[in-house]
Amino acid sequence: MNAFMDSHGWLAWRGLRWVVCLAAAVVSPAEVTVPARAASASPGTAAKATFDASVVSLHLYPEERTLRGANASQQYVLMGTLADGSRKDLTAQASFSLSDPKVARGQQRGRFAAVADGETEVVAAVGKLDARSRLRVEDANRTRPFHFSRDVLPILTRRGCNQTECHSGLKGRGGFKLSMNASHPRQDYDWIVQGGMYQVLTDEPGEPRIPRVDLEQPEKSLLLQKPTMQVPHVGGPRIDQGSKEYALLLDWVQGGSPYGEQDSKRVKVVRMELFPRETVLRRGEEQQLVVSAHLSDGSVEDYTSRVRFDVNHGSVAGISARGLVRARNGGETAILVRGAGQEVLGTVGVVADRVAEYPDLTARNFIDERIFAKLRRFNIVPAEVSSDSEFLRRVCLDLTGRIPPVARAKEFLEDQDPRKREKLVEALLESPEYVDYWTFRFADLFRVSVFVLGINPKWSQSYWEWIRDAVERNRPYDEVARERISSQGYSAASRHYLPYLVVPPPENMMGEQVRVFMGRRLDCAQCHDHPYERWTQNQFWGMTAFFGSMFKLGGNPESVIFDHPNGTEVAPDVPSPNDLRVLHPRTGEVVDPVLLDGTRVAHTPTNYPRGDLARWMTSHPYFAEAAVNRIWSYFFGRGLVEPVDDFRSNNPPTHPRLLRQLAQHFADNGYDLKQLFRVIVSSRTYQLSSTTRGPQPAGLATYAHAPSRPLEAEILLDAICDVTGVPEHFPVPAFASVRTDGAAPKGTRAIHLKEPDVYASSFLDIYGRPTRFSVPERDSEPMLSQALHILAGSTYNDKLWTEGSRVYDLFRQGAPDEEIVEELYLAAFARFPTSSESEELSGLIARTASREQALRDLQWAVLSSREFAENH
Amino acid sequence: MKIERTGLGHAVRPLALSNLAAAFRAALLLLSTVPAGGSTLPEPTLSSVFPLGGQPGAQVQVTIRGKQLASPRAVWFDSSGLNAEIVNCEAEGEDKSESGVDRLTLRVSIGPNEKPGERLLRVVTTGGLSNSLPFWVHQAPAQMESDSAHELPHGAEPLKPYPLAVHGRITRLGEVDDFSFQAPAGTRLRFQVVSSPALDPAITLYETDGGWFNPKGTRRIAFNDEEVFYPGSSTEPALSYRFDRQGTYFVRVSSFKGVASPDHAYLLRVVPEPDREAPAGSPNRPEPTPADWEERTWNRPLAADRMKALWTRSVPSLASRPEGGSDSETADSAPDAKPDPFAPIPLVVLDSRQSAGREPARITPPTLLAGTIQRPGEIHRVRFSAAVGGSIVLEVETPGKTVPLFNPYLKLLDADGVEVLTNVHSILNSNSEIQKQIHPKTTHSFPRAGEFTLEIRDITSTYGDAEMRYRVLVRPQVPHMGKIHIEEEVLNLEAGRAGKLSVITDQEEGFEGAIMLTMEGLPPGVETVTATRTEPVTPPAINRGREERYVARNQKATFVLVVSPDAPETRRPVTVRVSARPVMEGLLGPVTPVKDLFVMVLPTREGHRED
Repeated sequence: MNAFMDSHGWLAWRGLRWVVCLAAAVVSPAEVTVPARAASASPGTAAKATFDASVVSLHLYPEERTLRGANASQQYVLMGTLADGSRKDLTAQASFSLSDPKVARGQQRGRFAAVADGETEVVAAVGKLDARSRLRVEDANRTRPFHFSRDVLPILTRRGCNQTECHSGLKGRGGFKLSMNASHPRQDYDWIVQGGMYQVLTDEPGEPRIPRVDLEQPEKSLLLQKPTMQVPHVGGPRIDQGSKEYALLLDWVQGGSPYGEQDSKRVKVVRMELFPRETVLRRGEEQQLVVSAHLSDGSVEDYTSRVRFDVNHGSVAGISARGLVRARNGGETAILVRGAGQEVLGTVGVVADRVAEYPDLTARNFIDERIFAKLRRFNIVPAEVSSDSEFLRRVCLDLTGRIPPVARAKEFLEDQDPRKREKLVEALLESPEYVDYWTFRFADLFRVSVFVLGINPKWSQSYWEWIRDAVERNRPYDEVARERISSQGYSAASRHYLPYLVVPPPENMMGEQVRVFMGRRLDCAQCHDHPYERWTQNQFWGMTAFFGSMFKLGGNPESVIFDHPNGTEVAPDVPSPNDLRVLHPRTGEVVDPVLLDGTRVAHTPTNYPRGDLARWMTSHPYFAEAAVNRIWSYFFGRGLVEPVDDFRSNNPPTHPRLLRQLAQHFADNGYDLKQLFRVIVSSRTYQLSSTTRGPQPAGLATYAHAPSRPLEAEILLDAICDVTGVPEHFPVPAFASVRTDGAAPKGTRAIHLKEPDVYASSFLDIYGRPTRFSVPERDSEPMLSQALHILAGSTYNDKLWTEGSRVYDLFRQGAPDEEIVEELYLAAFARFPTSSESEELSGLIARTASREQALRDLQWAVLSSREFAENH
Repeated sequence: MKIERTGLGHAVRPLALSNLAAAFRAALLLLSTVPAGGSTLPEPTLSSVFPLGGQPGAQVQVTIRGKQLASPRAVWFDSSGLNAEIVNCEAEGEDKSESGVDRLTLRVSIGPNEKPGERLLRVVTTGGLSNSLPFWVHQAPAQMESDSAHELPHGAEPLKPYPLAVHGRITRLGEVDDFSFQAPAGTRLRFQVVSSPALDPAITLYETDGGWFNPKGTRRIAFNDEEVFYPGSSTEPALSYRFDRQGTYFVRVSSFKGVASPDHAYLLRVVPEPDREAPAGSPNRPEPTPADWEERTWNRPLAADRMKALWTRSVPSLASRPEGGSDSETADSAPDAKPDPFAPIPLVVLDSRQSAGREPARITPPTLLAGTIQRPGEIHRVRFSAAVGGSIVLEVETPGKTVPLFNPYLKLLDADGVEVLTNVHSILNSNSEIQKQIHPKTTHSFPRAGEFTLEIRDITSTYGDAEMRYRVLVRPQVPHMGKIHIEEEVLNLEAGRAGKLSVITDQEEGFEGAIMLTMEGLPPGVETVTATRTEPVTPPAINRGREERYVARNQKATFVLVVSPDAPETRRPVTVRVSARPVMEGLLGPVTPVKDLFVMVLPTREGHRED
């Protein structure tokens, strides 16, 4: 071990001793739990005492329904409202009856089937209360004509045959392909009746073509033998041989496997509705769901028994094939209902025991209303409002990326003005540090980098300046997005289209823009219809075609981006006449630009489709939702939808109404980012303490307390420099365009660095600075190398005791220990040390043989503490 | 390589036959081995000048860094109003033999009547004439940067009252130079930096409103690196800023990526707007002469006398001769209606009324079109007729915004709307990627007669404003000699040896004649023979597209300068003029000056002395 290691190993050992000390002295937000007020109540007892509240009203769903045709039936759900305002499914406890029993007959658990034409009333009673629903029956004796889509496909859907992991995967499975969720009935029919292998690059079915039906020996049909395991089936048994479903499929094959009337004449399902969409249950409780299909002729049918139910988190709740939810453990899960090419999403929350005296929560704005309503529903008591120091440090970090300076922290903590928080927010929003920080944020998202050995650092610099200008002038976000999407010419915004000096493949450009500005990942639809979503391969390539006529004019660095005014080149100079066209990889046909909503956009000599795309994207509701969700994540450590750019039907927002309201607020305010920041940080939700009150359900994003988030690499490094008073040096190694070494100016903060691949920093690399080669989602997982860096790295050790460093200067000026401790606490934690901390630390310093060493160790311990390294 | 004597070139002073044979033998031996110029003596090379200039009437102590400056004889300026006295010359660094850098100290006197602008400075040593570096004459009083660091937040160096010119250097990695100044409310100031070639500077302005974190700190209010980072464009920054409130402000000069060296010198001008002084970025040069001929740049002037100017680079007497399928002989016009080829070209002004949906204006080449793309997507159109075999040239000038901010895209369509010609050249590169280049000049020959529509627009659909002005000349082809390229500016020749000078001659629009090249004013004892190196003609590769439409054919020629062993040494540079003269069908065209070179004759290595 050399002297360096000796020295640092010792320091680390000494430092660890201080950590032990600080663990007792410094409040670590994640370790501190239940404050006295919450702990005084006995949650279990309280819940029992209040849950036996009586039912005050009943609601029978649906309120009105018409059953058409023989065997039509309807599932009913009886919801009771209890005295405490909560709702409960009473279907199982209710007694059902009909005012005219000749019209319909009751089946199991609230289901009624048509018997004869007429009208009746369904009555559901619990105790002395009842609720009623009008039921009308038409054409009770008329059997509806068979249709493959209505009669066969629902069986496959319910049995999971057309799920992604089974036969609706890219190439199907076992040589058998189905469309996901029966979204393409005609194709499904052909795959079943004619067989053939699915091929990625062509529409033609591949060989061998093995029909799944055997019209001569219907029982030998693979469609029947596979799911009943008469022949080996990797997917296991799916249908019982004696079931109605088996019989129906067999009948169909025996009948010659007809398709039914043509799709164009058929009544189709246009949307599905789920009741109830949001359900809150206690452990062990049940809720019956009802799925109603709205048909193209305007009628509504019960589809509860024709759809497939799936839950995201089976540990939270389970669901039966007929839509009965059973709560298991605390938390929240999405329920995805799929069928007939449609899907609908619901949520089930399993709540904690009720709280005896739930506190009154005053909402400051609509954010609080939504958050607190859910907390109330889930019986979760939010944290107290944060202390001034908590708020000060958090809001400074979130709005400007830096910890407040000592003098400002002191001033704020001692200020008695009741409006000091609002004033602080406004001051921060107008500070130059705000511009620096949000430039850094968007430089990350918009990917400012150099990429190819620094060949064109001037491009990245001008691109960075464009972002900075937008932040500084608070340009409307939709305007900025439009410019980035549609940029042409030699503009700064167009430079991101040339990451490797060539225009990237159009599908990559499209995928990134949609991900950044609409929060959707279409990429999976590049080779096949999206496995989890309704995005089709055609939609993917239709969107890609907007980027298909982009060219680079000139070489490097004089590149000008343009979309060929012809749309296509009619007299090319090179033997590649199709160079401007996007070809569908499967059909080989030229794809025209088509928006996700199906609108076809023509290329005209005076207009380029990418401009239309930018306008469409930024006016679509997805745009504002994606933007506010991402911004929300910057303040709460996760998005309302997480990951922030993965909006999916089976990845619902934790607070859908809040997301919509935030998006609406953002749009109504002209996509003003500052206003969005203002409304978020002004909310009580944001200003809650990080110290929790009562137990928190695992895996449930409730926002009941401020989350503790590790400081990102650049922010952490700047914070270390601020606390120690020693700036970082960022060298620029020689690269292609700058043939000699350079360096960032003295005092440059990490967030000021324009491109990560130009300025070298091992600290930033270790702590997860993204390269920006792709849309950067930072990896904030702790790594062993970080621990080693804390122990022996230069950032944590070399800045502690040098000329100009904070504590060194105080030491040289003869400052007493108490003053040094206070200064250090204010600089690092934005708070005064408690009297016990102050006393204990002063005592430790006094007891250490070398005061200098003690002060070094104190700094090291502060910098390596969680209270410092996290935003809480 | 084939070397042949063409007889086209000649020295003004005839060569004696006996000497000619010896010279030619020497040329054969030396052509492939001797560098341009021909001196084997180490030539002086300047890397920087500091300060970069001074005020008229001032005497400035100047330090020049460079190599091989150990025996300076004189300093040369391109203006008689500047003179320099050599004060000192020493090797730089502790181990002076290692660095190889010499530091030359001068006392430069600037004449009181010198106009502001760029001058060129060279040093004459026993090794010959050096390269040139700019030296600026500025009207504003000078201020020298102090030696101590002046970087915010610790401290900025106060500026004297403006207007002023600050001379500084960025010598330390990551160094920035901050200067403070006062600005009354409503003042508009212009900040401009010119610099030594090594430095790529940027300007940042700060105000003292630091905000909540540090009220005494600074806030960035303006930044400029350069207007456009584009080949051929200046990398020097300038910005104009109006100060709305009175206060203390700061201006920072920094280097791109913090690169630094003693050669990173700059001149910061701080002047009130309007800036009446000649912009420091533009050389104080005379009006363009025929020697400055440009054929394929976006800013060459296209004027009514363009046809005449083109014919002066050809054989004018051939202009009036009738020929089949002449360009101006349209499908409708009679053969005897050929107009005067030297007549002023008519001007037609276009605007958005010539856009889609209206009948385009009809023209007869040659016609000069002028217009402005005012709005995004705006297209201007004209129509004309062409005969079979007729030829056409489309030339574009951008008097306002130019490439890459304005990319004038020309497209010629036939009567069926089929594109027959554009000024965008497409090629397939070795990675099978399509590369496109836009050109200010395009030629075409019509395989069939017909009506054609010319469309003029910006290549994007995003931009349009009053500065997107164009002038498009639609004219018949004129076979002529185009630009003549000579890279060297200085030839340091050693007595008893031979040097060479390469010349590339562009041949435009089917010019198939010869081009005579001459050198006038050679120093005594220096004679020339001309040899040409004809590169093998290779057919255009298939993936090079229709290169002939966008690129001139060219030939390379080489002068061999033979220096007699007893040629007298030149103590000062001698100006030698290279001229060109077209020859077609046995007829001579006018003589056109091409370039003035500086030539020095140095004693032989043996006779070389350190004086």
